[in-house]
Amino acid sequence: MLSEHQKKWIQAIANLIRLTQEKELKWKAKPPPLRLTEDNPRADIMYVTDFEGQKLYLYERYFFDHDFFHSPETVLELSNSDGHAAWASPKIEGLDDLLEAVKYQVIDVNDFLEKILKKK
Amino acid sequence: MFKNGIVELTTWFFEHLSDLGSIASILGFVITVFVFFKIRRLYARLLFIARVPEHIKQLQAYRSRITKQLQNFDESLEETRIELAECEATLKSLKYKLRGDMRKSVVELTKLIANQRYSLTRHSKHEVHKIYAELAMVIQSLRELQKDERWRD
Repeated sequence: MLSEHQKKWIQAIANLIRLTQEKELKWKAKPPPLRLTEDNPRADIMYVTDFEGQKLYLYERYFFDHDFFHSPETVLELSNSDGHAAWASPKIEGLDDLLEAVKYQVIDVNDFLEKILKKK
Repeated sequence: MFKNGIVELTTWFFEHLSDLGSIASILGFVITVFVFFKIRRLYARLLFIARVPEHIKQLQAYRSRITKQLQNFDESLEETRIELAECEATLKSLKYKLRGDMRKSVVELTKLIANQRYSLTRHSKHEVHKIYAELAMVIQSLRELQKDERWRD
């Protein structure tokens, strides 16, 4: 069975999804830092938000390899307000859903749908 | 003297033959019960190894679709209802492949879904979020159990 720590993290991810969908938490896309562009594992894009003074970074990292395909994994990092110290959350169920919810918000899919449907 | 010993042993054997038979029957029964439970356990383990990974994938797919439906909850009400019904069916099937606390968690989630599914309205977003979190916990527990299973004798 799950430890209390794991349960708390799953609940935290579920809450982040809810806050993102309700737009209480606003995410922004930005280029990933050097450590994720020059070496493995890599990331193409990073999503950032601020939750009560704490920076949250969400990205999909993958191992770049010419011979093999490595499936990407979603990482949630927490850091202090100046962004110097980062800590990655444990691998937990729901991180992929959080990424989907964040992409949906950043790209503003609802707005796109409304605009395109108004066009005659 | 040696001959006498053999005669005595043979006599004792025939005198106690029925007692020995009874002991052998009891022993046979105990072994049968032991083998029965051992086979049942092995069958349950085989069933778990063979079927649970598939169930985990199914549950992960429901979980992801439920999150997407929560983006536009009002418009996806009917789809969410169907998704929850399918999820409930998978959980019911999964229940028979589990034991102990894990089974209890699955039964509780099945009840939670069944209660909410019939009374789902536009105002049930909070309840569906709750189902989402509980579903994620069940999936994570199953994955942990799957890892433990690899190390069991």
